[in-house]
This record gives sequence, structure tokens and C-alpha cells, in this order.
Amino acid sequence: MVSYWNSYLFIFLFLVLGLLLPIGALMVLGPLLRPKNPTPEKLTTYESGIEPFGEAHVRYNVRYYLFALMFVAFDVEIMFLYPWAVTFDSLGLFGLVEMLIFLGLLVLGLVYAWKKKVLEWK
Amino acid sequence: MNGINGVTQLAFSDVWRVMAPEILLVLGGFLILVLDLFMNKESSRRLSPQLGILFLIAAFVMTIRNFGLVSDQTAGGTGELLNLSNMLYVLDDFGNVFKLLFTAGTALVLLMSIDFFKQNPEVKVAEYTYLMLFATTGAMVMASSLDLITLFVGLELLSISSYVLVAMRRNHAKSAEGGMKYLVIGSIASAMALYGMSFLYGVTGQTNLAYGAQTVIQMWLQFKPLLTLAFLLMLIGFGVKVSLVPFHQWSPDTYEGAPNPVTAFLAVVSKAAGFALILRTFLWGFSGVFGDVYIYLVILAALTMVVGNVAALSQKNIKRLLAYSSVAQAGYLLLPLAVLGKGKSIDNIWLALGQTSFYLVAYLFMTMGAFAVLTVVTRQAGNETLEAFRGLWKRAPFLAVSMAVFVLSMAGMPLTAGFIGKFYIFLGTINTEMYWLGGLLFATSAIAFYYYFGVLKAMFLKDSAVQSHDKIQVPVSLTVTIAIGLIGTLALGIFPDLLMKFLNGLHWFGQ
Amino acid sequence: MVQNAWLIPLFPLVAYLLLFVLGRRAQEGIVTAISVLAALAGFIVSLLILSDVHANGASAPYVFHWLTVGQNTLSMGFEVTPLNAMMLTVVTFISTLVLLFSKGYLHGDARYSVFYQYLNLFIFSMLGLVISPNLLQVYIFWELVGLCSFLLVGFWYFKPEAAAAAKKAFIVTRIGDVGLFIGIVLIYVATGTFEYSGVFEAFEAKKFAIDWITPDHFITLVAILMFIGAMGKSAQFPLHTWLPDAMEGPTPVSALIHAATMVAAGVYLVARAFPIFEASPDALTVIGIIGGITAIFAALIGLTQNDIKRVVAYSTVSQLGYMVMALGVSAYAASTFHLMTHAFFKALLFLAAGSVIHAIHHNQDIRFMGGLWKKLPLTGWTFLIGALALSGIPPFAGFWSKDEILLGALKSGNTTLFVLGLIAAFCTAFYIFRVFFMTFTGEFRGEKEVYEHAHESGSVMTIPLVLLSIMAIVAGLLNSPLTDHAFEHFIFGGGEEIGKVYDTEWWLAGLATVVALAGIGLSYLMYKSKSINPEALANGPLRPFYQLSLNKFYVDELYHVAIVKPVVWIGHILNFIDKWVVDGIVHLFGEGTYIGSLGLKYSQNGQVQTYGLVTLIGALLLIGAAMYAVGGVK
Repeated sequence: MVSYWNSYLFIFLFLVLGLLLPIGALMVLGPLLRPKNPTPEKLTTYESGIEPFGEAHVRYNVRYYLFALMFVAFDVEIMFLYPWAVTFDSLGLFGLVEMLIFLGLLVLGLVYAWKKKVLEWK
Repeated sequence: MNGINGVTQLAFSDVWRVMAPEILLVLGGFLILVLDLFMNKESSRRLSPQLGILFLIAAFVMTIRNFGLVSDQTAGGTGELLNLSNMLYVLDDFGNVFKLLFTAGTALVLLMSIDFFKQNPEVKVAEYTYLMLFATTGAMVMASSLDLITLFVGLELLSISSYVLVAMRRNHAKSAEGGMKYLVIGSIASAMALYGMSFLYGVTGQTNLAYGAQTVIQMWLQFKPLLTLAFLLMLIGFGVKVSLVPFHQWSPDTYEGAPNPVTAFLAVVSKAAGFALILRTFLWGFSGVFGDVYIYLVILAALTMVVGNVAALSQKNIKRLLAYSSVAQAGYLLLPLAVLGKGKSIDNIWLALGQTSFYLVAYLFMTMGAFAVLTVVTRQAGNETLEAFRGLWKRAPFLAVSMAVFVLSMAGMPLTAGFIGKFYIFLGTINTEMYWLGGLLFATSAIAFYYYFGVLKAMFLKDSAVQSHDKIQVPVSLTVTIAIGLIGTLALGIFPDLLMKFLNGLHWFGQ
Repeated sequence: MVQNAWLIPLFPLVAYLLLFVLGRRAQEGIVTAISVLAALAGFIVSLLILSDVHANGASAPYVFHWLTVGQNTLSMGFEVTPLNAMMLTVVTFISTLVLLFSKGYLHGDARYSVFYQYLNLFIFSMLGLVISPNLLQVYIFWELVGLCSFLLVGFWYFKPEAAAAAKKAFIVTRIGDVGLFIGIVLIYVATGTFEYSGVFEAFEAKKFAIDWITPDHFITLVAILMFIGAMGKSAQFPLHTWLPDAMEGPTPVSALIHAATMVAAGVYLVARAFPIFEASPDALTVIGIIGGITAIFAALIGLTQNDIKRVVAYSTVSQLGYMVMALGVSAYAASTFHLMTHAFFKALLFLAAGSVIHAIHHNQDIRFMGGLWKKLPLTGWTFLIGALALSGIPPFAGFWSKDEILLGALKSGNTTLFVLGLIAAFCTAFYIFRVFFMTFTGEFRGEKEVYEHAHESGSVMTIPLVLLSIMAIVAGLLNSPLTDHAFEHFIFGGGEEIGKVYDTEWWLAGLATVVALAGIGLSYLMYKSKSINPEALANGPLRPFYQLSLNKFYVDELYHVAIVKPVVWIGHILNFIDKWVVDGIVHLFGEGTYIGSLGLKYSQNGQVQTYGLVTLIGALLLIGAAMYAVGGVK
């Protein structure tokens, strides 16, 4: 029972740390350490000089989502590739062929998107 | 087979032995996809369903081969299933039976689709076909995996393909509506199921059902509420897929909006896949504690039988009627599993699987046939109400008689497959002494008789509302579908032992 | 020969399939020829089997393995016993004649071929029911005959009464079927078999695989449940209401299904499964009482009905009551004997009535008939024979069988049943001769023109009448002292007696004859010589009784008030709840979501949220209940 909960203790610790660090840094330590000297320029959204316009809630073109989807697919692919590369030696020929099939299917997805003109911005 | 560091070494021959039907379907799907991509825009793709059917037949044959592999393996006596990656993916007769169902069902659906494409030129034929093949692959994964993650991937592969298929007629408002509703409710379902799986993982520390089952038994007393919650969430998630009451509300709208072949696909293949998943998950993961959780299945089965049949009473639209009837059938199909909690002997498990499978096969034949007839009749009449069937006996006796057989089979008339299926399930409830459930099955079937009767009455006792006395033209593909449905329904109704013997002799879980 | 008994139902099935293939436009002659030949072939085979059984007695059932359920195997097949050999012969004989008769009666009907298809399907199902060796098969065919009856009663579906009658017949008999079904299932649960032989053994040994009830109570329960099924099919009080309404079907259908065969199926079932009933004296008492009530009840209603077919229909109900009563007092032989003779003379009466109806352009009201003897002499003679047989006048068939039933009732000590039977016999004689006198004697009271054109139908209609008349005269002799009760010896198959058998009491036979003659006499005085004015009686002191009988004791109305109305009201209430309460709750939640989620304000599709909501509510209820149950939530 105890050992069972122990495995979750780490998660809990990470959670606490994850919450404490930003709170501690931004809300506790920050105000204590930094000089407080607000000027109108400093209070603008972007200090680079560009004035914000319009509302924050705008509609994005649906194509962004398509790009995002494509990105996610290939991003996740890397996650698969990494452990595969680490254990490559022990996986042997089969591992190589399997990964090639996997990549082939993904490439097919890319080709599909290409042919369906997802990659063109118009 | 185990390699170093927990990495499992696979061999090509193993993969081919275990996954041949799936591989064939994926290959077929991608072949059609590639052809579609690189073919001229103008050139016709109308042969893709035929190509798809070819691959399905190949997968069907491979599945039949797999029965032999399973019995060789069990004869070998190692007691171990043919499996990949430490029971991640297994080959057993349970999966094989369902794969036969899926491939046969999808093949019939594609056969019906040939006519659907002719009527709806705007639908993308190739896209439709490979989505069907991928969906079927997903269904197969659901029937053969023992790992929650892989099961979930299979479920999503099937579901997402289905969402698109429902909305395939882009210019058709109801089609889009149906697809949208299915997507929203389906996503809720997936989320719930996943949430439930996460609890199961949380308690057992693994995603594999074969190994997790032991832990479930050990942890049961300590984590009863948590495990029950996991069970229920999964049940609800899967329940949406097979449309158990009260998670059924999407189905009438979706069934109505979807093209007829896709509706048939949802009603038969998708539902069968859902049941494969339910049986797989609960009979493996929760078999040790089934006596404590079966009551929820009983409740849902009872509710489903009652509500499905009662709601069907007032339907005027034939597709909605069939949708509610398919809801009701889900209730019947859940019964064999539900009553297992009471009768704990292992023999009952094989009997329950036999009952479910038999009913699914019967259901496949009658539903496919009914939808094929429906397609012809509603098109000629121009509407989908019961009125379209009026006087069908005079206009097209063959269609009328076929429909009568299918409808009577759904109602459970003797000499049809549906009767034997129901009767078999009924005996199951009696064997486990759940008399009231058997009574409920009988009573709700009596209600069902009433609304199926409406269809019969319209066909045989009423004069046609359609004035034209043109002969109804039945396309060849639909004639074949109807004939297969008819032969199957009657053959299983009169000689049920044809299938029953086969089912009785199976090594369901490789026992 | 017995091993070929499966051929008998096969003939009509083949005929059915042939007609089906030929389609609805097939020529009437061909349709009739196929059907009649098939039925005739069945009749010949039945006769051969009958003689075989007579010589060699019953044989073991012929079965094949049908399907396996767990450890139990179910089989299908057929069997031949003296009882069902008799039934086969009667059914095929009457079928042949009715099929022939229909050629004249249905001539020119647009759905002539369809009618024959249904009839053949019915004959197949009926024969299948008769030769079934197990209860499961019985149930299957039991439902099939019910379906055919529905189709045939509603054959003239464009008449609203016919459609309503068909529905009523189906629903009322189904109520009985539920009883039968539960009975059969209980038997299966308790004995693990559907086979008659296995079931009987278990009932004799009183060994059942059931522990929630004592064996004796179980036997009574099962017997009553099965009898409920028989009540539905054989139109026993209070499930009798469908049979008179079923007269909306074509007359040949009434003759075949609702007189001779299907309605006798209930009696047949009780007789075939008699060992089950015999094991429970309580069940037998119930059966006897129900039979007696039905006999007298229907006879009283028959007194005042004006539709020629309805009178005959009520007489059928009444006679079925006799048979059931006979079974109730264990007069097995008498009951089955009456089943046989009744089949002949009742089919005769129906066909003769059909002939009358056909001759005067489908008018069925006897108040508008009269004087038809001159126009339809043959029909008149045959109807007279049928009426005499029904009344129980010696030496006609009904006399011998009815006498034995009364004898059985008296000897069993149930004096009340005996008296009821005697009164019913008086009423029967009275009303059937009322019909006879009003139809065939006096002046014609309908349109003159119709009378002028009335004439005897062709030979296809008269030959069956004549043949049935002969049977109505001689069939009774089979079980008379004159032939040394040949029928009894046959039906017991040379083995030991089933039920009880008594020697003929000649004084009783005399009394029954006198009672019947009195009925006929009264009828003569009222409707022939007009010495007693029936109108005055009906409107005078007997008015309440007259109204009661005329309105069939208000049973239909009672059902309407007691069952139909409440059900409709419950429906209304449920509908109300559904509309206001359930929808209200859903709306409440819906509104909540609606207000809470302003972002979805302009969402076009409000429904899918509801679906999601219902799904969630269902999920929460289920989970909540489960958590409560397992104690996760305190």
C-alpha cells in the first residue's frame, strides 16, 4: 500500500514544485528584489513599440489548424524515432524495416496533404 | 521472444501470422489512397469499391486460415496464445470470429455502396472506400488487442473514419448534421472511456489486460470504488458506441443522416466492434471480479431493451425505426455478457460468446438485407417514411417478401435467424436463472412485433400510395446483397446448427 | 407408412411455394388444381397412415438433431400417434373440400391466388403443429397458424371491420400465447427437454430441477399456463371475443380455420399433453369450469344474434367449450371424438352458410333472408343435416359425441357441469334451428330482385357440402355402441385407457335427445308457425335478458372499459409526464446550460447538447448509484 502511494509521491512533488517555483519567483521574490519604477511605456503590452489593436479573441484562418495538425503528426513522429534510435542495435533488421514502414505511412500522409493542397496558402 | 531491456523482438513471420488480415486491409486502403492521389482528376474511380471488396475477401480468407493456426497452437498445448509484444496483440478465435463478421459486413456494405455512388456522383468514391477499409482495420484491432492503448487506437481509428463517412454527402444537410452529432457525442464517449482506462492503469500500473486482470483481483478489495468507477466509465464510453440507453441518443439522428450503406455499416460493423471491445475488455480485465460489476450491465441491458423498443413504436421514418430497433438489439446483445456475472462457471463464458456471435451473424444478414431493400424502396418513393412501403407487395413481390423476412427475423419470428439468436440468448438467461431478464426479453420482443408489424401491414395490407406502376428496378449489386441476406437469414433460421456447431467448437480465448 | 408422415405437411408447403412462384396473376383453375391435388395427396397419405396406426399402434417419434444448447440438445422431427393420425385425416379431408369450395366462393376476386397461398401456408402450419413431437416445435407452428389466421381474417383488408378483426384475433390469441410460452419455458427449465416423452416421464416421476416451488404446485402452474394458451386459440371464455369477430374473413376461412382446425388446436394441445394435466386435479377442475362456462355462455349469446355466420361462430365457441369441459372431467375419448365430429358438421354448417351468403350477394343478416329452401334445396338439405348434427339428434354425428361428454360430466360427479351442458344443448338446438327457419322457410324479407336471382352454386361448392353431409351423418357411428366404440379403441392405440370411459347410459341419451327436440320445437313455434311472438318476448318481460344476450353480455364493452381505456389513459398520462415533466427537466438543464454558456448563444443546433447532457446525466446517475452501492460515497 505504502509503496503504491510512493510512486505517486514523485508526481505530487513535481506538482508542488511546479506550482511553487513560478509563484515564488514572480509573486514573492520578484517584487522584493526588483526596483519599482513604472512609466507609461513600460505598461504597454509590447514594449517594442507596436500598439496592440483589435480584440484578443480573433478568428484564425482554418488553415492554421491544418498546419498545426501536420506539425503535431511529425512532432510526435520524432518522439517515436528517439527511443527507436536508442535501442536500434537490439532491434535488428526488423526494427529498421518497421520504422521504414512507419515513416512511409507518415510520408504518405504528407503526400496526401500535399496533393490535397493543404500546404498551399491560398 | 523477449529481448533485452524489456524490448520485445519481433519477427516478420510472427507479425504475418498474427496480423495478416489487418495488414491486407491497410495495404488495400493505402493502395486505393495512392491510386486516388496520383490518378487523373477526371478519370473514373468507380471501381474502387470492387477493389476494396477484393481486399476484404482476401482478409476474410486470411482470417479463415487463422482458425487453423489457433487450433494448431492449442493442440500444441503450450497454453499460450499466439501473440505479439507480450500479449499486446493476440490471435484467438474470439478475434477471428469478429474479423469474419467485420470483413463480411464491410464487403456487403461496399457492395451496397456501388449503387449509392451511381445515385450520388458528388461523393468521393475512392476516399469513401479507403475510409471503410481503415475503419474495418480499426474494428479488427478492437477485437484482437489486449492492450488498453492499442484498443483505444483501434476504437479511434474506427470512430474517426465513421464520423467522416457519415458526413460524406457534403451537400446534404442531414448528413452533415448526423456526422456532427456523432462526432460530438463520440468524442465525449472516447474521453470517458479513456478516463476510465486511466483509472484502471492507475490502480494496476499496467495497460495490458492479460496481466492487469491479476492485479485487479488483488486490488479489488482495496480499490473497489476506484475500479468500479473505471469499469463504469469504460462501459459508458463503449456504451455510446454500441448505443446503449441512455447513451443512445445520437444514433437515430446519425442513422437518419448517414447514407444507407454507412448506416448499415454503423449498425452492423461498428456495433459488432463495440461489442468485441466490451467483451474483450470486461472478460479479460474484470473476469475475476465480474460478479461484483455485472449488475450495471444488467441495468443497462434492461433499460436498452425497454427504451429502444418503446421509442421505436412511434417512429414513422423507417430509418429512425431501424435505428431504434438497432438500439434495442444492443440490449439483447448485452444480455449474454450481463448474465455471466451470475453463472460463474467457465462453460457459460463460451456459451455467452457463442450467443453473442450467433446473434451478431444473424443481425448482420437481416440488417444488411433490410437496408438494401430500404435503399431501393425509399429511392423510388422519394421519401423515407413507412408510406414508401405501402403496397410494396403489389409493386415488387420479391422486395416485399425479402423485407418481410428481414423484419420478421428482427422481431424474432420462428424459422428465421433472428428467432434462433433471440431464443439462444433467452436460454442463456434461463440457464443462469435470470428469469426476469428473460421475461423482459420476451416482453420487449412482443412490443417489437407491434412496430415491425406496421412495416408488414404497410407492405401487404395497404394500397400503394405511389401511383406509378413502374416496375421497381433493383440494381444487381443490391439484388446480390438482398439475396445473401435472405439466404443467410433463412438458412440460419432453419439449420442453426450450421453455425452453432462451428461456434461451439471454437477456442475462443485459445483455451 | 408412418415414417412417411412428413410428406403430409410437405404437400401444402410445395403447393404454397408453387403458387408463390406462379405469382398473383396465375389462372384460377391452375391455382385450385395445384392446391386441391396437394391437399388430396395429403389426405390419401393420412388415410394410409391411419390404417397403419390402426394396425400397428403408435410409433416412436422420428427426430433429427437440430441444435445444441450447452448440455442439452434440441431436436426437430415428427411423430404419429392415434390422436394425431385422426387429426391429420380430418384436417386434410376438410382442407381438400374447403379448397374446392373456395373456387366458387372466391371466384373473380382480384387476390384469388394470394388467398390460396395463405390457405396452403395455413394447412402446412396446422399439419406441422399436429405432427410435432416436442413442445418447441408446437410453439413455432402455433405462432405460424396464428399468423396465417391473421392474414386470412384480414384478407379483405379494405373493409375496416376485417382489419380490426384481424388485429383483435392476433392480439387476443397472443395473450394466450404468452401463457403457453411461459409454460413451455418452465417445462424446459424444470425437465431440460421439450420432447413430449421426456416431459411426461418427468411429470410422472415429479422430479424437477426447480426448487422455488413444490412439484405439485409446479404441475398445476404449468398446466394452467399451457391451458391459457389453449384458451386463446380455442376461444375459451374470457378470451373468446376474437372468434365471432373473425367471421369478417371469407367464409371458407371460417369453415377451415375457425371451425374445424385451428380453433381445435387448443383442445388438441391439452389432449396431446394430457398426462401433464392429468397430474394436476386442480388444473383439471379449472379446465372443466372454464369449458362449462364457455359452453353455456356462448350458447346464450347465440340465441339472439342475427348474423348467420356469427351464430355459427358462437356455436363453435360453445362446442369448443364442450370439448374443453370434457377434458376437464377426464373424458379424453369423448373430447377427441367430439373434436372430430364437430370438425365435420361445423365445417358443413359454415360452408352451407357460405353457400347461402354467396347466393344472395354477400348478405349475412338472417332478418333479411327467408324462403330460400325453394331456391337452394341442396344447401337447405345440407344445412338441415348440419343443424341436426349440431343439435344432437340421433343418429347424426353430434348426438353420439355430445352424449358421451354429458355422460362424462355426470359420471365424474360434476352435476353442475352436466346441467350446464344440458341447458347449452337446449340453447344450441334452439338457435341453430332459429337460423334454419329464418333462412329457409317463410317469405324472403330482402330485396325481391336478389331473391329472383338466387340459385344453387356450381358443383365445386355443392360437392363439398354433400361429402361433409355424409360425414356429419355417419361419423358419429364410429364411437357408438353399434360399432362397439371403435373410435375409443383406436384412440387409445390398443394400449391402456387415457382418462375415463363409461358405458353408454341409454336414459341419458334419451334425455339429451328430448332436450334437443324441445329446443327445436320452441324454435319451430317461434319462427315457423309463429305461435309465439319472439318480438313480444324480446320487448316484454325478457327484455333485460334479451339485451344481455344480444350484446354478448357486454364482454367487449367490459374489456374496453376495464382494459383498453385504462391502458389508453396510462398512455395519456405517460405522454403527459414525458411532455411536461421529462421534457421540462431536460429543458431546465438545457436552459441552465444555455444561460451558462453565452458563447453558444447563437448555436444553431440545440439538440446535440441535449444528447450530451442526457449522456452525462445517465453517466452520473449510474456512477452515483454505483458509488453509493460500493460504499465509495458515504
